Amino acid sequence: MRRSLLARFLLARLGWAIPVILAILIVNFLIIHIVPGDPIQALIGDFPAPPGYADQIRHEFGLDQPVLTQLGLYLLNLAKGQLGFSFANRQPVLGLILQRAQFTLILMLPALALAASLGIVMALAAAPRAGSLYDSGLTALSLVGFSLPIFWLGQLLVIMFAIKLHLLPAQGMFSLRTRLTGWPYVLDVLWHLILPMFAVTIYYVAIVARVARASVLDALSQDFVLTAKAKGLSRRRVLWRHVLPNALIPVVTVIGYNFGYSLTGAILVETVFAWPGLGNLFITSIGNRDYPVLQGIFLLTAIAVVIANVATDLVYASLDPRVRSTGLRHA
Amino acid sequence: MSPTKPPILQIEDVRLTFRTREGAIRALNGASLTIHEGEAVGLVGESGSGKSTLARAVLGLNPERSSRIEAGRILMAGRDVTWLSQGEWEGERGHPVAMVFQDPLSFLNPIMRIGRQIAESIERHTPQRRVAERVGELLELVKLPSSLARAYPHELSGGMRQRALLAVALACEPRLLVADEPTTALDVTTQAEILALLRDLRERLGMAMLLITHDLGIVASACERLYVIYAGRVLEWGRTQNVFAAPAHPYTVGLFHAARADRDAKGRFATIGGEPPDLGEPAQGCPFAPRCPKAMTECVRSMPDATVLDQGESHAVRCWLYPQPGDAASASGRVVGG
Amino acid sequence: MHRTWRRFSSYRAGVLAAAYVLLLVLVALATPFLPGPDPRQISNEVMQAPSFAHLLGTDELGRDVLSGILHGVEVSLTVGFAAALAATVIGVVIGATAGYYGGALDLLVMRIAEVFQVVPSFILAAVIVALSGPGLTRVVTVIALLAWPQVARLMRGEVMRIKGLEFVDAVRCLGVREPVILATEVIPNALAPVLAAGTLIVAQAILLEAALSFLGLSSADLVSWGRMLNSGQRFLYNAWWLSVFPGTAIFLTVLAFNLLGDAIGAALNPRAEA
Repeated sequence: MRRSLLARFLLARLGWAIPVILAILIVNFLIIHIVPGDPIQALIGDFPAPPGYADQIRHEFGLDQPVLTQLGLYLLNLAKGQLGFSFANRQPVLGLILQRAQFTLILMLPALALAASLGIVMALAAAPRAGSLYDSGLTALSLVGFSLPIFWLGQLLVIMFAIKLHLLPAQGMFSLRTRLTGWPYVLDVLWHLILPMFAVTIYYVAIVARVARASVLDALSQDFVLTAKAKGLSRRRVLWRHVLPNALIPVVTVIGYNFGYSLTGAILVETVFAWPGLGNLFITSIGNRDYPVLQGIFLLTAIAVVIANVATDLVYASLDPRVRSTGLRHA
Repeated sequence: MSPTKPPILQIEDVRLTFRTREGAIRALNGASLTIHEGEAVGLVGESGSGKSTLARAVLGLNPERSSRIEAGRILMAGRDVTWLSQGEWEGERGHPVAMVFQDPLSFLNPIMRIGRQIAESIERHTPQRRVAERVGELLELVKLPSSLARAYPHELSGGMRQRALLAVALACEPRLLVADEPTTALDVTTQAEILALLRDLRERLGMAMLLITHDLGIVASACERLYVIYAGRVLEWGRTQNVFAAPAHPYTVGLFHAARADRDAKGRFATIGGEPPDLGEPAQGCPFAPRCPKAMTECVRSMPDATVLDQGESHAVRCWLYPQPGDAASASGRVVGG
Repeated sequence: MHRTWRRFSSYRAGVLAAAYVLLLVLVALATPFLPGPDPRQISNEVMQAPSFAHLLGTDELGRDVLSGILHGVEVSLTVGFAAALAATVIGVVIGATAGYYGGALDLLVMRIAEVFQVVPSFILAAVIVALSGPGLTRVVTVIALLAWPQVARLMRGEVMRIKGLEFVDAVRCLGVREPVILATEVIPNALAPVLAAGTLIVAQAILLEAALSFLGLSSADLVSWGRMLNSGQRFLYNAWWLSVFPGTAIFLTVLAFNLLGDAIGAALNPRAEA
């Protein structure tokens, strides 16, 4: 019975996700047509393309046909994974983006994990002392985090730790002078990861700490904490087995629902550190006027965000049995 | 009550204050209470009378930073637990005294299965290998199907949740169960079922019970003795049948009027007139004096000592209407009875 | 006492932020009359570290950084205010209509708003600006298009709450027509939280514009803080002042609008905890 509830829940969430993805595709289609200039330009980009390619694209996307036919052809092309060809990178757009996305995830996921644990630990430390200096500090910190231009934070970190103190590398994902393999290679990547990851982490902590503080405070004041104490559990056990799991639910939700925000942060940080992920691809494609790549990045990140939303709902449902039975999304 | 049995809980003249932004609140103002092994005792009072604070003080569950016991003693099975720190309390809760609370939904962890919540008590107090089996036994003891171990609190009805909460407490194998308004959140039929279950459990397990309630009817059906608490002070106590037969304190009398559903012309229940006491003021006299229909000048000045009304059965009252002990000369000058 | 202190200190932060914003507005208005060199003026004094001649140093073309920061106020505030105003107006109209009439219209509007809130807005803005070419009007339009759902959601909720209150029924009984009720009774009563949200959108818009400029998505002839950081990026090794100062300007300005928005929200809603 529970399994079928979960399946129904998943189905309900997919019923939400599919129209949203469709809407995103239509937004992308509209961008090509609404921006000033020839749509063919938006589909090819400014990089020199072989002669005849423009005509081929014009035909494939039916640009001489009515708008609705165009939309149909556009969706059909996307369904086939046809996101265009990047002449600047001499590679199909889809493969290019997926390949670069890995590097973005290498930067983003550890930062997210770190920020989530840091945020929760900070909140656990602050919550029992609501109103104290430390607690106010946490609130101020999250306000500062929301106001920091993340790319500037990246620049500050480079100036401080790479240039002035010579502690860490400023750019890239690996040392260019030596060719490393195996563990030394991994360590080298980690070494390069520290600064950009730190920048992204500070940015994320701002989101996590604010919510975590509120949810830990809330969980601590719940009645079941009293029951747990009354049966003789130690404070440690009450905190870890009763307070924390209940406080984690909103935190997980916020992290998941802000996947797009997190991704944007990572992309902007990459441009400062020349990290070879999506952000770097994005900024070089702006420079090259490689429009299909830019649209592809938007399309795939938007879809990733929708998937992250659905995944968050599933995680939420697995953490909170009350959601499974109602099938409602926690707004 | 068998007078030969030793006391499981003694509360002696406990004073407890809460610090709040608006100043100190004297929640307990010299409350005393004794429960013997196997005995069912009721603690009756309106909301704000300090009855829940008293119940929580028994297990050191009042907020650590904002509450403080100023004076008095709490003895659990003869052991003084008045001054335990929160860390020391960890080893003392659950056994020999366990507790169940008022609202069975909010007092159960919403994301933990019922069985796990019971198992936590078992693992803490009677570590054993057959925990799952024991969980099933406890569920059956509170007359729930053992399959409910896998359920979450929100999947149960109010009455089932209260039974589950009871199982969590019973898993501690307590000699005294403190039940804080255990039936208030339930409908009348379910209330009766839970009370019957409590009676049955006490008989089978030989466990003492402190039942905290605002409802005299519940006390009548479940308790051998009762204490009436008002503004953090115990005003009257005695065997249930004696107090019911001849309530002595004007406040108790008022409670009985309210409970017997004496309705006024508009069909509303009779209530005791006046405002509940302001606990911020240091009360010198009887806290009920401002609302008491029989108040005298002494009542405002100081609190009387206990007057034993019924030798042997320990029905006693603290009220200036009754002769003070060792005060026979002046007693004749006062009106006795009501 | 503690609470009073906290309320006072949050109030103080709000007042400080308001004073700073006022100062920025004055600087922006006085842009043509600002003393000091023209920030577009190329000179021989390239890459000068901060000194008395150039308090915040000069860039690779010998342009004065302080001058650039002062002139950059105009772009940031223009984008911030214009985008927030547009987003607020669009949001109020759409949200109020959806909330007041409900039904299929409400459903449609809220689904559209949801899509806008789900997509990564910065990336969408950057793609649109990259394809359509930079320009302040375009940037403002794009930001407004992305930000209106925040206001619309809020407005919708407020309107749904207010339209159920008794006094609205009373007015309706007087025979006042529905659109008039909406405009004269419901919307004015819902504006307080919208004002707070609008102020927070100013902060977001300034941050977004800075990020777009940082990626090179702004006209080269505009003096903007993000653009200064963009050139600063190439000279992190030899001219830290090209990054540190313009970034500080962005940070303080965004912080000020965030504080102001929070303070407005708290001041207009006494129930909310500071």
